[in-house]
This record gives sequence, C-alpha cells and structure tokens, in this order.
Amino acid sequence: MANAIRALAMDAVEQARSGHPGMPMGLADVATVLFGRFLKFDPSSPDWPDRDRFVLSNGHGSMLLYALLYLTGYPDIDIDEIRNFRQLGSRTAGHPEYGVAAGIETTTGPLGQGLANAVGMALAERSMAARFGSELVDHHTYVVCGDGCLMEGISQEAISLAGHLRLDRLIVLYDSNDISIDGPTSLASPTTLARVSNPPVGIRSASTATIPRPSRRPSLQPRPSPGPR
Amino acid sequence: MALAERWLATRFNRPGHDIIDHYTYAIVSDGDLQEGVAAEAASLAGTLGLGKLILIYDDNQISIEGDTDIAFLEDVPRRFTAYGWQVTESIDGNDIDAVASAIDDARADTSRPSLVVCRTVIGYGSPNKAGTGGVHGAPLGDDEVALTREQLHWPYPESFTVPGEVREYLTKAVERGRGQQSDWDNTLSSYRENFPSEALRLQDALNGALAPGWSSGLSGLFDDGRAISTREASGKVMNAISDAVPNLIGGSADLAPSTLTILNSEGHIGPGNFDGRNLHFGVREHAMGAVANGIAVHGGAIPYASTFLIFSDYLRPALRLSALMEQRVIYVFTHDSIALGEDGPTHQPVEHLMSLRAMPGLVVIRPADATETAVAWQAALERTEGPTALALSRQNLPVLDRETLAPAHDASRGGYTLWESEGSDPQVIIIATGAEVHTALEAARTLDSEGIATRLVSMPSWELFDEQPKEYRDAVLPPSNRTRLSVEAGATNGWARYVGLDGASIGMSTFGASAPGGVLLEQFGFTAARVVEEARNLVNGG
Repeated sequence: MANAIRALAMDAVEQARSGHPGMPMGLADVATVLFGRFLKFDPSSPDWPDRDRFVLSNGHGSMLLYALLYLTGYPDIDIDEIRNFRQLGSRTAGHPEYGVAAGIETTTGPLGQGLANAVGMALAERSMAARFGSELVDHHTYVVCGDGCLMEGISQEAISLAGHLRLDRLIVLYDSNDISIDGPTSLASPTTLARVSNPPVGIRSASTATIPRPSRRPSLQPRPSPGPR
Repeated sequence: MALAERWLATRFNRPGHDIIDHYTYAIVSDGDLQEGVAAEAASLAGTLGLGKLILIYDDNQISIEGDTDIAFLEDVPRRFTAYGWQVTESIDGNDIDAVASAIDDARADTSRPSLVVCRTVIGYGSPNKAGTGGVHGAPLGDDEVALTREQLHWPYPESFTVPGEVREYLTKAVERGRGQQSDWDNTLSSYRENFPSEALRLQDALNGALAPGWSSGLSGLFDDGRAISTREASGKVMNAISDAVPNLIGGSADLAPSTLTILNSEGHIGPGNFDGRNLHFGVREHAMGAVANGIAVHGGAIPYASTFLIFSDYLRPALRLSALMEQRVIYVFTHDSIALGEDGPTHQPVEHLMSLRAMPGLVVIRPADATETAVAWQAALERTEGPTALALSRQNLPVLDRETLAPAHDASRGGYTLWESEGSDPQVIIIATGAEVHTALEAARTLDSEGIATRLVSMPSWELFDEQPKEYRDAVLPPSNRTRLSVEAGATNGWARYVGLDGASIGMSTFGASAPGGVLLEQFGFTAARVVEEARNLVNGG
C-alpha cells in the first residue's frame, strides 16, 4: 500500500507538472500503518460522528491524503480526481479543502493551522465525551505535521494548550525529515526533543510532541516493523 | 537587536578595538511566553547562538484571567533548554543578591542566549492585592496605596517623593556608564586613526545613510527586454545594489528559492556565524518581522523580510509596529495573486493588498514590470521614515517598452499615465496595477483602435500617489473625467476612491481556486477582452 501511495503521488504531480511529491513519498509507510491498523474510520459513513479524525497539517503533501482517500474507497475521490490533481474544478486542490470531499477534515496549507485545528477536534471529543459518555464518544485525533509546522509560533501555542489540557487522545506524528525549502533544518532550528523515525514506526499516545507532562511523558519511539503490507 | 550587535561586531571590530560590544536585556512575562511569536524568536535565537541576549522572565504566576494554572502550566525552562538556551535555576526575583548573581551567570555564557527565571510576586508590597490578577492593570486605590507604603516601610506619605539616597545609588550606575561611554569615545578615536575606512563605513551603517550614486547599478538592468516576473526582477535589483548598499541584510521565512531574495555574493548567517548578510528565518514569519524591527531600531543595518504575500497575515502585528515606529523595514511579498496558480486559495491573496493599504504609515508598491520594480526598491530604500511592502508576481511579465511608453521613473509618483490615445481627451481612464498593467495596456490599444480614446494609468502605489501635489494628481486623473475602470487581481473595496461612483472595478470578490495560473486569470476575467468589454460598457452606458 505504501508504494501505491508513492506511485499515485508521483504520477499526479507529474501530470499536473506542479506539486509536492517529497512528503507523501516519505510518509507513505506511516500513513499505511495508521490507516491499515489503527484509524477508526468507515469510508461509506464519512460523517460518522465518532470516527477518528485525521489531519494533514502540512497540507502541501495533499497527495498523501488524496491517495489514502482513494485507496480506502472514500466516495468523492476516484482515479479521475487523482488525474486532475491541481486542475480547475477538481476535488483534489493543491492543498486539501474542507467541504470539497468526504474525508478532508479541515482545510490546511498555511503551516501550523492544521495542528491547531486538531487540538480543537481533540478538545471537542473530550468535551462531548464528558457530556454524553464514552460509549457514544471515544475517538482519537491524529495529526501529521512537519518541521515547517513546528517552527510556526501557532504550533507552539497549540501544543502548549493541548499539553495543559491533557488531551491524551491527540496524537501528533511528526515527520522529521530534516529538510525545509531553504535546505537542511539545521540551518534554522536546534535539535528538537522527540522524533518519529522513518520508515515504519510505532504509534504511541502522547499528550504533546515537545512539552513533557509530569504524569504522562510523551513516548514517540520507534517500534519494530509491523511486517509486510 | 542582539543579532544586529553580533553582525556589526563581526563586521567592524578590529584587534584591540571592540567598537561594538554590548548586551541586550529583555524582561518578559508569562503572557509574552505564551505567544507563538516568542517561541519562534526563542527558537531562532537559540539556533543562532545569540550569546549576549538575556531574557529576564518575570515568572509571577498571574495573567489577566487569573492564576497561570488555568492556561499555562508548561515547563518553560525545559522548553528553552530545548531551544538551545542557557537557563538559570529559578530564583527569588524579589531578592536583589540572587538576581545579581543570576545575571552574572547569564553574562558569562556568551555562546548561548540566557533565560533568567525570576519568581516574583506581582504587586509586591501591596498587602491585600499582591499576587492577584486585579493588581495587574488597575490602580491600587488610595487605601491600598497607604497600606503598601506601610508594608514597604516607605516613610514618605506625599506622592511623587523620592529621597536623595535613591539618586545617590543611581548616580553610581550613571557614572559607571559615563565612564564606559568615554572609554568608548577613546576607542572610537583610535579606531578612526587606525582603521579610517572602516570608521567611515561604520558611521554610514549607524546613520543608515545611502552612499551617493548608490542606485547607479540599476540603469539598464532590464534593457535586454526579456520577460521576467517582478519577484525575479526584485532579486536582480537586490543583487545589483548589494555592494553599493552594504548594510542591507535580511532573508526569507524558508521561501528564499521562491521569493528570490538571496544576496548571491554574500555569506549566510548561521549558528554562531554572523559573517554574512543572508538570514534564514525558518518558517517563522512573525518572528521574522519582529526581528527585522529589532534590527531597525537597534541601528546599523537596513533589514528586509520576505515571504509570500498571503503569509503577510502571519507577521502582520510586527508589520504594524514597523509602521507605528516609523522604521525602514522592507517587506518583500511575492506570489501576489490568484496567478500563482495550483497552490490554490489557501495561498492566493485576495484582500491583502487593500488591507495593507488600509494600514497607516505603510507604503505598498505593486510594480507592473521589471523597470517599475527597480523604481520600487529605490523608493523603499530612500523611505527612511517608515516601512514599505513590495507586492511581486510569481509569473513572468513583459518588460514595458519605455521607448513608446512613459518613463519608468514616473512610477516613483505612485501613479502615472503609462500610455494614452493621441489627439483627444480620453473617453475612459483605465487604472491598473502590477501584473494587470500589461493586460490593461493591450485592452487600451484595442479600445483606441475601435475609436475610443483611452488613457492607461499605471498605479503601483496609492500612498505615493496620494502624496503628490493636487495638480499632478488631477492631471493624471482629471476630476471632470468620471468614466474610470480599475483592474487589479484583488479585492475591489477601496477602488471607488479613484474610480468614483460612475466607475467600475475588475477584481476578486471570492477566494481563488487550485488550477494553473493562466487558467485562473481567464476564469476570473483578468483578460484584455474583459477589460475592453467593461470599458466599452462604461463609455456607452454612461
């Protein structure tokens, strides 16, 4: 499946002669594990209120999301939509647009916004669970973000708030690829605390990516490969 | 400020002559540290190793809504350690000796910025209000003021009384400073003797002066007539004047290959290395703007900051302060409309030009082509009384033929007649900006061939135009001629100012879309054919 994601991403970007292939190709394995083994979702019921939420905060990697939606059979993204990536009238815009296709949980593109939205989603889940009980409300919010997102001040604000509120059903998957547009991230960022290594990684619950809490330490650590996909 | 100090020191200090050698101290609060911009700035400072930056954190556990426990419980020291800072152990901020010792430690570490965590009691000394949110932003009240004087053993019941011993204590500090200043004067004299040309350059740097003839490298820069985007033209302009304006430093928020703002023959400032003029701000627009302001008010360099026009939203508070403080900061904003194409509506500015024009004290210039871009940069560098924002295209644009059209220099007046029909007064005046000018020019010539006398005004800058004498403005836009059409790929709110109640505007009233730029320009009607049609309607309908 991971290679299918890579192939679709490459092909779509070639066809459009525009777009960002790097991140979808780099993160395909993480996405495969997440959707294949953990994510609670049903493409035939995209509005199921108690579904897990998946946010691609680094929205420029939109082909990753579109490939996932296509491969898992979401109704709005068929192969023609993939072919029409970044073309007028398609549902596969350069950056994911909320409201245009089922499975797109929020509009992303400007870095850091998706991560902050995800904090809101996780907060809403906890709030509803408190009001309606965990039988009816119990889901996770997964957000993929990159170096760029985490450099933005808004991410630090959101992470701080999420840690403060102990949103333990929020899981941030930090695509640590050491590259940004201007070059290696070492040009502009010191080494950060927790990294998810690529390829296949384990996913652990973490209240924040960088702010440790006394009672619940973040644990973004690699686990052995889950086996053939 | 700390960055400017290091940059100037690297450039100008010579053996035995530390002509630039000072610290930057900032007092910061819980509120400051919750703001995202502080995280961005701290991260950048740590990466660069700004060792003479010292932050004194007033850790008083209080914010407006109450105890910081309600919203801010994180381990700030550990976060700053992760950023690469030296962090002192938390000290009692109301203990004078502990504070002095901590600042000594901070000063001693010159390879990392330092965070001195001071636990304080907000409103210390007030028996009933200390430690509460209420004491943050409201007067104590007469009774509490009296009780506070008692608690502090401050035996002066009359307000605004300061005893002599306070002045004596401070006199020592002032004398120390005067001594340091006069030592520095001696150093400066010796520096002038031993390093005369450096001394002159230092003077210019500190004055912010531009050398005579600094812009001579710009003439003929685009004579080859090759179509070129205004972002690329801007890059060429910057490099053409780079040697003549040696104090111009700056960078992009991780978009340099797209904003084309690299000074090619200069080095890159990086961790512990301040020998260069190119800064990598990382994806930290807001900190970039604030850092640029810090460089500007510190003095010694002319800062520029660059990103996509859409991301001006991410640094707007800093930009506003540039305007409020009347600082010469040059903001280079590229990818200025739907014409940027496939990245789509999240990246396509619509309301940004108008919203920047609405900001007092900011000059916005959207050049029509490469030749206007050179004029724009000149205006920005000469504008010592405030910031300038340049709005530049992603897409290639034809270079306007200055043999047959008005001279590029006229762009410095903010708006000018680029071309008009010969013979009669215009029946319609078209006002276009930036990338839409060449499209409007094509339309103007078509209208002319249909017998409709047309004037095309290029208006790269509203602010520069409004500064012109009324006679000039009326000559370009005669009040008697009310048949006017504006063309700009952005929000139209505000264009009535120049097109009036009888005029019309071609612009954007919705967000854009994800498709190739050329497709979008057609889709949204920024074509010569549409301009012709609208102009014809105005002439016939009115």
